[in-house]
Amino acid sequence: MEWHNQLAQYLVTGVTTGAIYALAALGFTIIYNSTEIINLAQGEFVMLGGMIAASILPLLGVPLWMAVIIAIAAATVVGMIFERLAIRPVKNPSVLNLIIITIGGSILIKGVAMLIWGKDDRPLRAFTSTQPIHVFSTVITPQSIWIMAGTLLAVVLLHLFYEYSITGKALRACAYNRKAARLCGVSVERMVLFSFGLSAMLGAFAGVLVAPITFTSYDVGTMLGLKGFCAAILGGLGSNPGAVLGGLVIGTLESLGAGYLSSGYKDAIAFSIMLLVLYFKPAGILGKQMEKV
Amino acid sequence: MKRDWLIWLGAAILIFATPSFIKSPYFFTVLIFIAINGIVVLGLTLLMGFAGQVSLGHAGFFGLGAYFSAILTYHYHFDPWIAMVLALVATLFIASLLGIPTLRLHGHYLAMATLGLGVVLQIIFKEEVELTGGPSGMGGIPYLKAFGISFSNDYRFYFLSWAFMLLLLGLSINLVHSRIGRALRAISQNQVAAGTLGIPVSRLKLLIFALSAGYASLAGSLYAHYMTFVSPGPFGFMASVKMVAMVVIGGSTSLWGALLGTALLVSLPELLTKLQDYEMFVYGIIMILVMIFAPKGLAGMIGKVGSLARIRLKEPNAGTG
Amino acid sequence: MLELVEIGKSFGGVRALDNVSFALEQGEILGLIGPNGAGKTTLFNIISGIFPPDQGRVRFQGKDITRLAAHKIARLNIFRTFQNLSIFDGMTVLENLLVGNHLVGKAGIFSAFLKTPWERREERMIQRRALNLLAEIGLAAAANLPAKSLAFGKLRLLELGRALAAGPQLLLLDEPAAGLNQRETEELMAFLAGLREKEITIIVIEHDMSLVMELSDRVVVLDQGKKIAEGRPREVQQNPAVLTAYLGEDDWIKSLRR
Repeated sequence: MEWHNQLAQYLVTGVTTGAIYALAALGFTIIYNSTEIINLAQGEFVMLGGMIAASILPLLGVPLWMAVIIAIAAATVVGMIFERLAIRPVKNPSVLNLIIITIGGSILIKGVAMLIWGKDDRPLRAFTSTQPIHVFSTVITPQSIWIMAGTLLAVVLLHLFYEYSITGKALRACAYNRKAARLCGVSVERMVLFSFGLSAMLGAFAGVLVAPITFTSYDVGTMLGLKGFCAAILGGLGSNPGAVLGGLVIGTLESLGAGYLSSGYKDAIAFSIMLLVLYFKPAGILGKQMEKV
Repeated sequence: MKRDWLIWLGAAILIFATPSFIKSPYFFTVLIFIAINGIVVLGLTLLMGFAGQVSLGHAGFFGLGAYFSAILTYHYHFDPWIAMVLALVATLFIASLLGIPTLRLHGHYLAMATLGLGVVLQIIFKEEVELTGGPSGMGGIPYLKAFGISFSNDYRFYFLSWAFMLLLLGLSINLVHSRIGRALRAISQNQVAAGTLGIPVSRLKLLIFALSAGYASLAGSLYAHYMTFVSPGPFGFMASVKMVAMVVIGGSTSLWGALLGTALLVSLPELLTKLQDYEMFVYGIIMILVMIFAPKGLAGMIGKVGSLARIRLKEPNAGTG
Repeated sequence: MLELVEIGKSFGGVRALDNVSFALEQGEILGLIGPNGAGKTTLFNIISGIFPPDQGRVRFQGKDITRLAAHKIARLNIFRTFQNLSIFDGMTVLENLLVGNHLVGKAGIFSAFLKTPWERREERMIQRRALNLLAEIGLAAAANLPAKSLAFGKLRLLELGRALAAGPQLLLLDEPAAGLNQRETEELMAFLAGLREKEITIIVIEHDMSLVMELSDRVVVLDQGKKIAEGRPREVQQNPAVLTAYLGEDDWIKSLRR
């Protein structure tokens, strides 16, 4: 009976973390799709979500749900400001330059966060209780359920948005062919701005979901963002379902690896997977076949 | 090219003359760090500025050099110079392994692959406790010795590290002003056209990537024999990012930019210890501002300002070499 | 000298080239014409090794070069220019030609690092060759200017020079006269005629019909990826299929009136 429970436990943890990685990965994919930019600042939006919520709660004394909404909204605004001030003005948008700018942005945001909030960990209250629930012999915390449900909701809403709303279709148009989209009257600039906002929103959402479990601090964004990035590559850069799949796979493998192999190498799992993907199938699981340069 | 060698000569004279009138030990320490970091940044500049590729994991190669040297000399009692060469070879090999599949794809693939490698390397440094001493690091690394002198203090290591730096700078100047150097610049500006002129694009990209990793490895070995102690801390993602920042701020299209950027970003935190909390913020904002307003960095700005100080290496030399 | 056999290429759902075959003798000038989107540049990209065809073969001097990479094709002395200028705009005019001479040199990275005597000798030779070529194409005065400061017509000339630098046997020119005024076009034509003297085989993609008719020994016409005509310039001009393909295109109508 023992190994059943252990495996199930690892899977639960894996899917939970995987859900967070999935949200972060989606953020990368959305921006990459409309701009071909790899936004290495994505992780910082995740951090901002958790940090802002965690600091507003005691500060303004508002109910949790309101703090969450404010945090997500604020992060979204930061994302859009970032696009406007750091991405848009670049005269020569080569791959090199944009990667550097997003890195610059990421350490800038991180630096500011450290100045504002210091280096301490901050707790965020769990959404509901912290009483673990027993499902068969596995233990799940309610927050995990919030994470899984929240991610599922976000993915479904995103899908509906892309399929049925005008803006969503415009975004998809930009992903396929920017010139053609422009000719149809789509304002590519506004779509880019929108993508950054949307990615920040998703990232911040992930941040508030996970903060109650892991505590949050000014530097949680880096690792989370990078792993979300690995997930996006695994699933196929540019594919939304790929991002989700990649996130879940990496989360699960990480959890299983930490449990069965070595917990010290846990962080290396996501990156090793990414290296393997780049080696054998750079397009990822669901991505388009890459043209060789 | 003569111009670059003149500057080189000037720098060499400056470096070797300064200890005659500056005696502060602090000065030597900072200058040593500028030399060591500068070597990494020099290699990275060749990669970024002349081949147009980004590496987000160069601190990993730096660490490889450091740890290889440390392990071979401490655990296995190799001669430090031999260990340095072995470390170099190993790093070149690992870099090639990474580069071969990724350099055929779009630019950001190499960035991602190096990022991944850098992170994994640092984790290995932390986890393989028996070999590396784990998170607390390992000490007891022997000094470098040559001609009967042991480079055991800052004063002597200052000369050693700058000798290395000047040597590598000289080699790099030669490289830039050669047919291969031109080919690299062509690749960074229009790689399709470069290919049609007979330039083996993927092969050269691999070559320069491995080379830049090699520079980092040499610097790492020097670092290990200077500190006589290594720990995983300085070899992570943030360190790689700082190295990229040094290239960008100094000016990626100029070898002198590598020196300028390193000098600035190494000495700044030393000068403003009070403002260490602001380090990340400052790095981030400078990187963004430089990319938007001065993409050629400090070297580019200086190049624009004075025709006397024309240190951009893209200055043509229509005369004989 | 050059043989294209049943070349086919698709991009996604679009059939860019379909069953294109023709051959070229040494010293010939072949005009490759057709309405926009006919697949001419795609054909050049295939010959010069930028991407391989989906079907068919390319043979050069008897050897199959279909899947060779671009730099290997250049080593066979096949060079090209581009429709959208591909000048190295971070370099000077002279440096562009120096890069053009890349294959003339052999020194590798070690020689580069150490600046060996023979690397220096090679470098001097390359510099001399480039300067001579620069003088020949009339840009000697601009040698140390940044390439991007040149006027458009001169840039086209520079790109042509760059393709000539290493001594091509086969030259692929993609719309060399595009954007040139009347005088510049005439100068270009004279220059190209001079190349023929040197036994360089040339394929020219052009929309300027007077240039094509004057210069070409033979003409191949593509339309929507298929070859619809081949022959001497006058023959092709009268071909009804060609007329239909070009219907509505001004250059064509104008050239018929001559």
